[in-house]
Amino acid sequence: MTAEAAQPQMPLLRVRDLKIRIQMDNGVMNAVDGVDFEIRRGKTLGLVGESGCGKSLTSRALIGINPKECETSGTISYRSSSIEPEAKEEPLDLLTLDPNGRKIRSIRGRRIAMIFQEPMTAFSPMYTIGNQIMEAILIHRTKNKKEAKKITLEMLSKVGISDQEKRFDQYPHEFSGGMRQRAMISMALSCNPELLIADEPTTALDVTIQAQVLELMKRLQQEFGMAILLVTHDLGIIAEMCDEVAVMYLGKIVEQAPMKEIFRNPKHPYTKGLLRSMPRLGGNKTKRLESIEGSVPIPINMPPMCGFYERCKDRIEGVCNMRSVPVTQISGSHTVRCFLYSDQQGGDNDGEAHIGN
Amino acid sequence: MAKPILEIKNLNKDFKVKSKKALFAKPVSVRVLQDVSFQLLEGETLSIVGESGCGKTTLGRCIVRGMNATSGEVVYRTEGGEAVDFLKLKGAESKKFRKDVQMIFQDPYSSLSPRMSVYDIISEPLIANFKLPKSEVERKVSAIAEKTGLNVSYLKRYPHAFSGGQRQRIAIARALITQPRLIVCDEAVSALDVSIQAQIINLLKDLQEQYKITYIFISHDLSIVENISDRVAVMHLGKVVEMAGVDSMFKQPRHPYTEALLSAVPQPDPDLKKDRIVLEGEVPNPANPPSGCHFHPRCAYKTEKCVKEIPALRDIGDNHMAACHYAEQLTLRGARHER
Repeated sequence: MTAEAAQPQMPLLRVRDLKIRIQMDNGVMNAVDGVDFEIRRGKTLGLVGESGCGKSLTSRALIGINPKECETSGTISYRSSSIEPEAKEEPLDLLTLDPNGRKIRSIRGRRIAMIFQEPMTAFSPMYTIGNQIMEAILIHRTKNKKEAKKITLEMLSKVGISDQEKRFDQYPHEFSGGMRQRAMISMALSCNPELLIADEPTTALDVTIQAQVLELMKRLQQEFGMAILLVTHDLGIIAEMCDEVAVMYLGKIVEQAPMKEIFRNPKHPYTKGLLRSMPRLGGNKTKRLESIEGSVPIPINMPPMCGFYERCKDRIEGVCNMRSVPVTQISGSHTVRCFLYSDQQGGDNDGEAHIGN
Repeated sequence: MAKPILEIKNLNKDFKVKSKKALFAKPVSVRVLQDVSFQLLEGETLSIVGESGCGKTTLGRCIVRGMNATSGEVVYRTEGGEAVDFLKLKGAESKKFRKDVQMIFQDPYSSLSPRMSVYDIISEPLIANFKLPKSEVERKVSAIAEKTGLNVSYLKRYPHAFSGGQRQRIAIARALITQPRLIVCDEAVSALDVSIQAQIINLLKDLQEQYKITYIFISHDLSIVENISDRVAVMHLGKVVEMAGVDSMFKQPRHPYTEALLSAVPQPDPDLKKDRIVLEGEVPNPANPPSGCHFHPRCAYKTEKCVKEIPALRDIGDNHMAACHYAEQLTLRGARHER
């Protein structure tokens, strides 16, 4: 541990073997099944995947706000910087903390903040926007209401909301969608967090407003130097915002690499399929879109096999559907979870691997 | 030359909204569609794009008569070439044409009744519009289910047992069963995941080829619009501000709003140079639209003329219509094809 701590590039957050199981009527659902990733200081990690792949559950597990039904295991070691001297030493395993305890509450909202997809439901309709932003500041930063209000107004102006005095006393319904999302960002950043978790921050917005919000997030990241975990299904946003990308499918990270590497040199058949199935501006119009056939299976009582097997064009019968897939290192920071790149594919069950279509 | 199937002339739609002045004040009317006119040719796909609140869904609904337009004409040409104004039809008369024009909605979770089996959902328009023996209905339903990629043995199930993509297939099957000539797709793929989106788009294209269906494709996703459409209409605050063939518009837009929309789309390509135009501010309120050109508060090219005069939608060559005073002078950026 000490040798690691000496390295300057210690990640801010390291997630190891994160598993989230949910007890269902018809069995146990392995919603998140052994996820590993790291978030470095000041960098942006993108988590992409389709709905139901566990990306939101993963991001919420980091600050312990998943519902009680989620059985979570693994480690989430978080190494806070400076401010508190004690935090310099051992990294803290966020999962061991009581989700309602004092310790996690001092981190949640303060060091790790989150913006949600639906700004209408994330704000309470009963309190003014100013009141809700100020709440976080009063808990974490100052006890002085006047000062808190001053910080709030400052934050509102930072996210480009004009006429802050008036806006401070307005209710969420008086804000437009883009405005509400800005207010939410200002709330999340009001305590100067080290990590911002953004769960589909622009999905509910128009493209023009989305562009505004993305530009804003980029600018604020430079200004505040925080790390971002960006959860999205939109590869366009990934290309624009992220330093690193983790592609999730059925509760597992199937491929992880620096952003450019994912786009230039995708390895996993799912990543390739995703990239090909996206229509892009200026693309070849007459060409049919390549789609990934079938749909995502439900991860209840799944045998150990590749979750993408049913939909995969390059599947190897007798290998991919027989064992769970190990992670293969393609290069320094590029990993993929696929037998096509694994030297263990022969295994012990059959020598002749048949490549199906 | 394809024949026109639908002609929309000076369509207006007003909504009554509660006045903010006093509690019991008379409601004020807000014009959400303003003087919309265009022609739709048989077998083509016309996309309607714009930000939320621009009136694109309202337009779609006025066409299928999900709501009645305030004034204007929606002239439909039957297969025999007879012209019918949808807005003038009354009662039973209008029912005759229901089967010809169908709609697919955005959210396959709320557009299918949870209390009807998939078979009932798909067969309902058939039973409502035609008098057919049971065996014939059954035959048609299974034929269309097969066409749309639904497993025939699942037809007795209820919508909750299906995934989003499957549900959208059910919605498409339901729209197709009456063999319509025109389908209005209102954000038909927006609620779906990327990998499923491609499946549904391909399905829509295949069906069009096979049955010569005309689509009105309402969407906010410009990458999909480019892929699926022949022509595109851009709407802003209840008005069509630009309308042209898809290649012409995406290569060389003539309205600054279209340019901004195109440049705002995040591209899944890290090598693309990015200098996007970020529109400042918000969509103006249609109850209180800005003077002159409705886009001028957000426009980078505005002049005094734009604040005062309302630009008309006019042809600037090659059937490229734009409502901008400077449509000819401005050189605007399209979707970049080069790296």
